[in-house]
Amino acid sequence: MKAFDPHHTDPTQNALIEKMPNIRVFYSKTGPAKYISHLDIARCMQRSLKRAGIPVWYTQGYNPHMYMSFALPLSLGYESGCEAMDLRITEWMEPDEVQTRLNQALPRDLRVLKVTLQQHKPQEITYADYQITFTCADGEGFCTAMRAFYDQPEILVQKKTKKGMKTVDIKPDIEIKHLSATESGAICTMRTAAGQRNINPSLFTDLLIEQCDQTVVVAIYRRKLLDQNQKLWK
Amino acid sequence: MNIQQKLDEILLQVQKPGRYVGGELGSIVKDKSQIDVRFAFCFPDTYEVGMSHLGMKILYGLLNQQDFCWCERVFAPWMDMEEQMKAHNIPLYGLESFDPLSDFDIIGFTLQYELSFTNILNMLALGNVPVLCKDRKGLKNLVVAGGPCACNPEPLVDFVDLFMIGEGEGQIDALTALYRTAKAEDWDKEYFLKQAAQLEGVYVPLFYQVDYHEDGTIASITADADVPQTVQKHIVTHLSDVYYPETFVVPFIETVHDRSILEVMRGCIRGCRFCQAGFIYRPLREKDADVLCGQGKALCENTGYEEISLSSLSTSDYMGLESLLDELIDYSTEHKINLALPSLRIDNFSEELLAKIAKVRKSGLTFAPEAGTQRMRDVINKNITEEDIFNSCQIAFEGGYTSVKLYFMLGLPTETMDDCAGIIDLAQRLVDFYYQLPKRPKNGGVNVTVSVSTFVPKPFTPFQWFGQDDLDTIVKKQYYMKDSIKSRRISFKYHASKTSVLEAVFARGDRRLGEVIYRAWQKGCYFDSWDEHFYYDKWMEAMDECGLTVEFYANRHREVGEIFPWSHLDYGVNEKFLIREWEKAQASVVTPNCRQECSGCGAGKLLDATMGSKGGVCLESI
Repeated sequence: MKAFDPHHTDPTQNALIEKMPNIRVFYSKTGPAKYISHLDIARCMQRSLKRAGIPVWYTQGYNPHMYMSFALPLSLGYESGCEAMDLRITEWMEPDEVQTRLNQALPRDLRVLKVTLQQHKPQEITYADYQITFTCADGEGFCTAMRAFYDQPEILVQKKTKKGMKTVDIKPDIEIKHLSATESGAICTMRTAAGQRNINPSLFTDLLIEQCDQTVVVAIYRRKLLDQNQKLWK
Repeated sequence: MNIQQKLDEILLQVQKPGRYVGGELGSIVKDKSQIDVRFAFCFPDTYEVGMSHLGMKILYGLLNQQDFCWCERVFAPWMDMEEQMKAHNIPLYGLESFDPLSDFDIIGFTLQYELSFTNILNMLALGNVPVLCKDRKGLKNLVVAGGPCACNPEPLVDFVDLFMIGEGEGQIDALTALYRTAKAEDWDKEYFLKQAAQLEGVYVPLFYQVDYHEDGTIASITADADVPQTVQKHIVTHLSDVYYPETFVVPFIETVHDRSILEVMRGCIRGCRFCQAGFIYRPLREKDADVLCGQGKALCENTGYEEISLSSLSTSDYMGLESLLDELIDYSTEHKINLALPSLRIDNFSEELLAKIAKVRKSGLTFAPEAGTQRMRDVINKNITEEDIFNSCQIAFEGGYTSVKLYFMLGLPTETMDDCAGIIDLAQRLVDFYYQLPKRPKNGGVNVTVSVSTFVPKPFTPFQWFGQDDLDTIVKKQYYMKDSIKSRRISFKYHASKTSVLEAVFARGDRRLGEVIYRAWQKGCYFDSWDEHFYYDKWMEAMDECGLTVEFYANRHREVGEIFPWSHLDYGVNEKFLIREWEKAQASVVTPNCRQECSGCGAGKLLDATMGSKGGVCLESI
């Protein structure tokens, strides 16, 4: 019987593995899965990778676990078409095969869209684009209200920080790329600061909706992640 | 707006919304236009508790194997969710289809513990299903129930149309098939129930009349002429051949037990007299080690789980344990999977076994001596000696464990203050023993946790005649024990005993308690097994209003010969055997386990109807 012992794995082999580029899995999280927290998604991914038979490298500590990291954890309640998970594998597997296998192993509402080698570092994420759908009775009225709200010289919100609540002006961190009324309300594309300085669109929409004179339901979908030059983060 | 859209308005306002949206790996979605029978499998507690339950996993898989049937899961929403659902007019729904509970043909509840009874009413009401049987006129929304508490279903007969007595795997297909015919041919409810009552293990209370003496005890239980006088539980004869799921629904959120489970056997050879499971799951049936290994591997491959738990009433009594472990450990080390072995016995806990577990993980060890003195252990037929306890602890301590947890029961028949003191004394001597061991772990001191629960007498056990200690006595005993602890190496844990009182009322209760349950629920009682939501006073009010007392149901000693509310149900073990065991208990005489000598309990007839009282057939059949 050969027992698994993390302390006696071949060190040269480990050095090689550590030099291999990370694999980056882009996936979507849609539908009811938006109510699954980031930690739970991480556990689900771990099990799915195991089911899929992807040769993921395990950390070599006392309590070995799969090496995986997530670029920019998504807030609870958001959907996304650009989630990124980085993996290290112990032997080469074609990206297409990783994608096919993982898609077979994932639950319904998580889908792998693309598997590539890591090009940018996670820290290089600087902006994120969100598509925000507003459901309300008067779409035109809402758009007018939202523009007026955005046109204020500063937008002050209460933001949770490590040192407690802090008032910050989020105006410089938000850009409305598009806003129009629809049959069921309004639709908007918003670019916000992301990564080191991270601004969730809900900071903006929560405050806005508080001031609205109609009931508005908000659905937020993350479309893409961008680097400091506002180019696609890969 | 459909339910799913409405949920978007509330799910971010509630704790752990992942409980309410389904979509997990392994959950089964079917095209409902192709379905004849829609089955809602309801667990009357939260998602985290219900999703840990093996029986639900088995029946979910089994029911969904049938093309004409779609089984979905329904759990009790936590209170914050319930409040939001009510405010937004969202009925309780199935997690797979998001259709309201009232859309389902059969609504099945599993009865795991008495204190979940009110949740049944609450869930039905949240699902817009009439709570009382008599208000559900049609075939639709047939409410059925099974599980261990179905062995005395009488307190629930106002709410549940039909009970499945015994093991569900063998009977639920027949029930859904009959229902399908009934629906196609447009039978009325009573006609359907009459037909269903002919199925093995099906009990339809409507056809059984209960009459009472003036003192409240039962005078007679009379069955209609065209249904069985006694309903015998249904069992699976060969565990290795029966359906077992190859995959589980894998929850996103953390649940109580979130792992692969292998059921190594059903039944138990021990015959501990307090243990209802030890009697109602008789006869003993083991599953082949090869079959188990295959199932364990399939489960891990299909779910991605990193833990396998071996489940049974006493896993170390499983004959093939060593070989099963050898094979499973090879597999689990290779695939980085943990093995968990709950329910090990203290008297056959070997060094080899410890070594095997230790290879996987090193956490605390738990033993259940159940009583502190040998006399008391003989009364309950625990069949372990003090030497066994010390031996096991020595193995554990020398193997590097520094903490052991010991489970005990309080309020057992014939118990005296000396027996209570004996529990603490035993813990103290284990602490002293640890420090005398030359080979004890180098790092730090020992911790002995004493966990004491209140004994609840249950039907189909030799203690079914015993009157539970009243609340004052239990509290007095708890304080007495607490006060006799001298060492800070002993941690003492005990449970609120008011819940045990209520449990005792329902465990041996009769039909008259239906009204108590209904009234208590209307006063706001549900989630009673959650301490923070248990309102003893409201329950007492409800009892008073119905003219019933705790004393009658929980504390009263019953005479041998009294007709019990469950006397028309047959779980295999016969009354003569239980009386014999009750008498031996009072004389502190033990009964050998089934492997040593057949005690003639009668459950063997379920395997071989021709055997009469002749013994040994259970073990021969393995």
